[in-house]
Amino acid sequence: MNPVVARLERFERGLVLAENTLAAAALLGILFVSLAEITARNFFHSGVPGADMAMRHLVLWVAFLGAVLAVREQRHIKIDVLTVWMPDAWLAKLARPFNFFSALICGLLGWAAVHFWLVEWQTVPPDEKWATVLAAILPVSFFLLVIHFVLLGLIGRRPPRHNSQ
Amino acid sequence: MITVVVLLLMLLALLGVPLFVSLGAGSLLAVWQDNLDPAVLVVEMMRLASSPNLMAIPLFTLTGVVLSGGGAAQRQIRLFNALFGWMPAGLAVVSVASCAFFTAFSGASGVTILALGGLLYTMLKREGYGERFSLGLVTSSGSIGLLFPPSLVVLLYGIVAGVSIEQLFMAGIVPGILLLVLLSLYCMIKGATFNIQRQIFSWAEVGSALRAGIWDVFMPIGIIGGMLGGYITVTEAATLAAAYALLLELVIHRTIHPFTQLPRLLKECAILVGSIIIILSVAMGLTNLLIDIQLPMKVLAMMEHTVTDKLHFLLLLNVFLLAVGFVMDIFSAIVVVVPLILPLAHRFGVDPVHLGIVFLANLEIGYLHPPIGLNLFLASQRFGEPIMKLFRAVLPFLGIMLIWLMVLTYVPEMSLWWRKPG
Repeated sequence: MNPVVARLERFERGLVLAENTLAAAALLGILFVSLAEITARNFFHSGVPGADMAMRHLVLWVAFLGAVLAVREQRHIKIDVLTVWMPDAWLAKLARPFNFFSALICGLLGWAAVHFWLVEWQTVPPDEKWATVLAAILPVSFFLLVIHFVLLGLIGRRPPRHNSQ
Repeated sequence: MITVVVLLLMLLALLGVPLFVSLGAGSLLAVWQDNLDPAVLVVEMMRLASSPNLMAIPLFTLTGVVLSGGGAAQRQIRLFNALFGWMPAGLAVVSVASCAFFTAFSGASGVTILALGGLLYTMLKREGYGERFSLGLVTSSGSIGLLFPPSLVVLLYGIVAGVSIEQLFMAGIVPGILLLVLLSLYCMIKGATFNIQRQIFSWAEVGSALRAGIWDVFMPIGIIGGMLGGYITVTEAATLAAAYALLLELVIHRTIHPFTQLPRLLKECAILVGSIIIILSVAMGLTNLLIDIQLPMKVLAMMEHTVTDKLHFLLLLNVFLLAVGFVMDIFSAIVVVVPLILPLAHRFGVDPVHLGIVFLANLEIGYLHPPIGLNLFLASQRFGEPIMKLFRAVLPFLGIMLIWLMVLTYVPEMSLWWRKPG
């Protein structure tokens, strides 16, 4: 294997491990916070402070990190109807430009997310700053998506034949 | 110029660019066209987080992934087979019931065919059912059960359309059961032509299967009873179901190792959730912009010349949604199409809950027809058969489902029977 590609793949694996760990922690976090909230409400007639806000943001963590993980596994939902009739060679040729195009769009959305986040950070009351920290997952995920699409393009991994979920 | 770019984006989507990328590009184009700050798209994404039922999506997905990974499907087949396998065409009916039950939990991700398909197909052929019938049954059963709690697509529809999820689940019960009954009747009629030896009922096997599968049975009873009885909310049901599934597979059955297998399942869950919610989040910006430019109203103005009443509208809707099913999977269709057709349905007096059932039923059928019927592809991979052979095999089942669709479309009472008049 080309040593540059091997290095890129090693970097990708490390990144995926970190993203995977964070996504799993966020998922279990939702479950535990929600269980704590149900217990507190039903047995102690109270609630866990900030639980609702934390869970809503943790859902974004699971979802956006999951979307990042889906890039490497090439499992994003596609409506690739035309590919059914296309030869493998054409698909392989299109994969690289499509990955770079995807990276470009994610970069633009990420840029918008950074702007949004900075405004939020400056305007949010001090006691809600922690939620804004959690909301940083949006810009961070879009830039992780950029990295993964670029890596996919550079490594040149072939898309699966049909992949609607 | 804009039209050319939009057509180009559609072409890219059809050629295999991830749907969220095409929709994201369309959203960016729309905000630039309107001289808006692209940050409005992120505002829409954040608004998604405030949806009270969104949390149920990862938790119900986790439930399905854990149950699937822990072998709940096999326990279920064994239990249903012990209880009902002695009936005429018992195994075929058991296949329909098991798949419906499992699809409701595993969502519309095609897991049913992967988890149950191989086992059921082998069992059906061993008992003497024809190859084409067995293939058709297993392939088409992979999407039935989508209307039963805690189906992910019902949740997603409720979130996108802003409709009560409890009401949607209530509305899906009778149509869902009707489909099971229709398919089971067909299985019994067709099964009689195969000269199959009936299974002997065994109390010992029922006892043994019950010991293995009784814990699984409590879950749907708890979810359906709790949610529809109004004792727990959708998110509470999702939390309790996920916790119960983990307890079942990690502690009671010990089929999933917490350190070697659970991380893989958590990742699988995150990927499934991520690939759906990212479409939802980027599409919200685009669809809101389309609504801002009054696209549905313009379509409505065009339709008002030709469409005269509710039935006419529903007929057109069925044709349109079946066409949508040709090119879009159910998740994308809910996110992209629902916000656009809701105002039209409202104008023609279609109840949004009934619309949800009609919408999901149409897309359920979309799983079975080319060119991108997901179940056809999964079954093709799983059984190593060509798509067209599978399509021919599912044709009778598809026919039954189309009749079912007509009935539930034109008899709204089937979905709304529980609603008090007035």
